[in-house]
Amino acid sequence: MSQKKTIDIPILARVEGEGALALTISKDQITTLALKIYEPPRMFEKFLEGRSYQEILDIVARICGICPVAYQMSAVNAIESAFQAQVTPWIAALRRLFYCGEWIESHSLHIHLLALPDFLGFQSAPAMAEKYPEVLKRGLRLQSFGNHLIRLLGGRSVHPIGACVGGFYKAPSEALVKETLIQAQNLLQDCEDLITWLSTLPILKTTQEYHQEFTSISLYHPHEYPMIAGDIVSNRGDRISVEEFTTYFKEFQVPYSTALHCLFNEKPYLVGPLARINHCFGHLPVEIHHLLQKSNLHFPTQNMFWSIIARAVEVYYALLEAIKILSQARLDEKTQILFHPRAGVGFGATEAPRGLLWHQYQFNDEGKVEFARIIPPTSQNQARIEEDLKYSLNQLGLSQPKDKIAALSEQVIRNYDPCISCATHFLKVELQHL
Amino acid sequence: MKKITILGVGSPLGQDCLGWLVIEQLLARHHINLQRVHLEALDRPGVSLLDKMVGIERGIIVDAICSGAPLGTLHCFSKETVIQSHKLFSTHELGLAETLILGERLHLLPKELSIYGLEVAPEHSTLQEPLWTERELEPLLLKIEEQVAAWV
Repeated sequence: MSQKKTIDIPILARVEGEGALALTISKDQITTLALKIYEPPRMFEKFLEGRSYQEILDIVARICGICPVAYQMSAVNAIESAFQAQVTPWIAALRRLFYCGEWIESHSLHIHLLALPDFLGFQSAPAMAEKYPEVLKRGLRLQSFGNHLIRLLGGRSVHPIGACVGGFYKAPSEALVKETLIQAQNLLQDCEDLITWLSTLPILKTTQEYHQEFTSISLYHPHEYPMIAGDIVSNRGDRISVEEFTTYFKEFQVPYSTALHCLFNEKPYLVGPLARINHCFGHLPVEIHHLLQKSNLHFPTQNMFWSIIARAVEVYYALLEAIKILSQARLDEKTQILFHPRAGVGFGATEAPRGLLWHQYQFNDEGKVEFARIIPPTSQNQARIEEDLKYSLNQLGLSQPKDKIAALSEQVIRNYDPCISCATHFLKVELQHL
Repeated sequence: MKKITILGVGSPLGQDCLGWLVIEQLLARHHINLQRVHLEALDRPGVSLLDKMVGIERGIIVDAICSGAPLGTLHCFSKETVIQSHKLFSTHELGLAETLILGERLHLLPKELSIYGLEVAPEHSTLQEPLWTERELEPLLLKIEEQVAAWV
């Protein structure tokens, strides 16, 4: 006789922020599944109203401690779109370099300190350290370099201050560029070794049947692997401009979670590294293609457990891209353009480590914000995570013991590297400046 | 390269800014030989704290501490004490204690490492402003200066 089973995971470990999962299984069916995100009202979109465009970057950097670069870069895209300002190719390259730092830092942290302990059966990274010291040291080296790249252009890795609307306040010195280039080149072997080692992870074998049908969304650019520019594409053949986002993507509230969900054409969808690699695999450098072939790793894939491989590939890509930009540094060129603020609406989208991050601002003729809207990747993934949980738990078998169901649920959620701290939405708050 | 380091960690704002205040005061007092000792404030470094330990023989970390002791209690712990009693120190994953445990297991920590701090109110207390006057910081500053003088 089938029993009713209730599984409550009150706190999700090793994700950024706080979340919980409530699940009810009855007569071998999942009857309720709720991913609860504790998102206190953070009011960032309201904070921005009435502020000058010059203040936006410092404010949005504080939305997320892990991906401040992403928030700043989506913001500058939107602001410059409103002001009809166009940066030079060199400034665009510097922005990509800045972003490379964040991808390397964020992905390395996730792979080594959040995902691997789980996949290898340890409670935490410190517990994993005794058996895998060199793996963790490699991860820390890569993460450290990511922070160094962010500091190179941002001045510091926590809430960087070097970026501005129109470019950067200051170019790095020639000596620092040379030193950074050498450091980057010395890490190439680490990136290759990481991918090769990850290809042998037992979890890839045990979950090889976990192929799902789902929609994925990312930016797409004709000439480069997407970071700071492009149209929005899906794996179903859709292609829309950044300005059209709200026509096709709709946010809504669920009763059990304060964080908003988002649907594309009324369906859940995936954003993040796996979506990017699946759409833009051909844009990766030949070194990466050779390595993946040698390691018997094939994309595209609809297996979410391959997200850890996707992140490692993007670490390698970001390092190669950083080397390319540093080798061709044009330090005598200006790092800022001139422009004039004006009334208007602007839209910007870039690829945060966790996926597409979309901003919209409306300005008055003094360049003050009249309206702001920010849609982070984690809230876009929430409906997809719930869909995945239903799929994956059915694959596992709902008659499995409670602890196995809970363990798989945590792994499934962690595949999306949810940054639950990225909370930008509020509910009907009126704010007065005193 | 300087072999002794003093790192003030935490947010630069609110009660968590103790580490920043201490570094600021130590620099202003000029009692520490800056040719031999590196001082730095770090904004919530997480595991990046381990980067700052590379090549260091002796170190001090200064942080606001929440252990249930009376407010303002001066704490001084060895790294071994922190590592062995990490539940006391950490309120979430990848906090100072977890970072030190990771560093210890990867042999990345200096041979001598002390953690100094003052007891602060719990996170959700209504006490939001720093509690310390210069007078209140004095015992902590003196202890750190004595420790460094013994090492140099």
